[in-house]
Amino acid sequence: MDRTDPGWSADEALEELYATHWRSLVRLAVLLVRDPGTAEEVVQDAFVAVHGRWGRLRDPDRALAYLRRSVVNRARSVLRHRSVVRRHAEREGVRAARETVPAADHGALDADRREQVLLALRALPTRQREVLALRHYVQLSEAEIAETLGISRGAVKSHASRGAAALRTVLEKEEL
Amino acid sequence: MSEDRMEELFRGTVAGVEPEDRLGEIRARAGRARRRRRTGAAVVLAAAAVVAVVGTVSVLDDRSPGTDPAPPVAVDPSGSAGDGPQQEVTAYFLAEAGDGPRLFGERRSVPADDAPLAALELLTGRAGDPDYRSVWPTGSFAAVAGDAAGGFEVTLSDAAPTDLPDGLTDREAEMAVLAVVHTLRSLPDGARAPVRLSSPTVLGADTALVTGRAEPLDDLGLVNVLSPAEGATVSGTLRASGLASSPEANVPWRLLGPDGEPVREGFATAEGWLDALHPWQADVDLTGLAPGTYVLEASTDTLGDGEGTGPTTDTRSVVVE
Repeated sequence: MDRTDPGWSADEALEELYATHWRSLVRLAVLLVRDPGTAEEVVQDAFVAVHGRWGRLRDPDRALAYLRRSVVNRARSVLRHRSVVRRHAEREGVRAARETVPAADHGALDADRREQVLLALRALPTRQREVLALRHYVQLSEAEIAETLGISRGAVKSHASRGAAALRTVLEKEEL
Repeated sequence: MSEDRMEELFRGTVAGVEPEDRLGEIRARAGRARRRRRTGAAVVLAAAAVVAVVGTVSVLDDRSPGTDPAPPVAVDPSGSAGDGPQQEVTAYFLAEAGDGPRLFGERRSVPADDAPLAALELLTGRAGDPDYRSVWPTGSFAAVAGDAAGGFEVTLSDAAPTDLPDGLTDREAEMAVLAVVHTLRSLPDGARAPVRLSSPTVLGADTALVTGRAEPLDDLGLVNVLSPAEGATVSGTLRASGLASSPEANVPWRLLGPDGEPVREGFATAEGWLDALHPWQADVDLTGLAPGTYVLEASTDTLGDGEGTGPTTDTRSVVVE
């Protein structure tokens, strides 16, 4: 991707951003909402929104930051809408079948462990879950996480340490 | 657990997630959202390309490039009702907001003696605002029993599809069901009236689940112009009003001229924000404006750039005499 090109139209930007970030953003959303179908909806909404904002963003890095922020915010709001979650839970049978195909990616955990991690994440307070996902999956710095979530770096630090401690307690009990 | 181990754990948890391709759906929705931003007058030109991509557009959007946009369709606020007593209702339609599809209302009058069913029948017709869509086929609603005090029971007919129609997303279907709830709740004293639908599933949505979670701040556009009606003829001073939940209760508005450039702008202050949608009102001085079609645009306020979901905008085309 030519990061210096300011000349993209909103449509071109959408195509490029989708090609580069669709999969990783859906994976981030899965860590936040657990169900892959719900995660896709959340990220789809974020892409529609970034298309509308392109005139103001005009830069792939800013657009990516906007997408991440948007995914985190939408994930939080979708968890309040239980009907959406429930509907996608019904599709999960199909997806579970699809996902039992051995994952191509190196380092994929087996289904039980994945489920344990996702359940443990869902049990955390929202902010802790968000901070952990942005730090350990997206690998953002403390400053970037603070910027993404609109909170102070101090708050990021404390959510990260409490979240990690809580997660360890649960997962070590599960002998991970 | 070390930092590296945490990273391995997070990556490994989602490494097997291979999302479906949704680019087509995203493109289609982005196209609809763009048409919505370029409402009414002036800026329909570039929409030709979008129309080609999206494929499904209503007659109202079917304008050819290079020509003047079609004049707005006037909504007769008295509706097609007879001479009997009338009841004002708000009919809710789907439109793209900053964060996905939401519901936007139009004020209409219906016969008071059959107001609940007449209100829902508005949802099967065409909205006055060309940005708004309804997905309910004609004849979807067979009857409405009950009242605002005890709740409404809506009987659906066979015309209302049980399954999710092609071209509609789950969210849009859910919003269409919520449009039934919010339209009935616009009746006098209906704000909290329970609404039940006769079928467990319609448009692929679980009706009990969806109606149970109706919540104005989640479902409705965060700014809505309720007056003037789309296509209204105005002169002198235009009094605009509607509902909003916008930061600091600020509701910025602009009047865009036939060339799409703002000719008037200002702020209305709503009666509140955050906890609900609150009424706002603005007086727009039309003195000295050339006759023609103008677009009144009201927005939620933005707090800086790049945060959250961006402003919601609602528009009405008006004809200045």
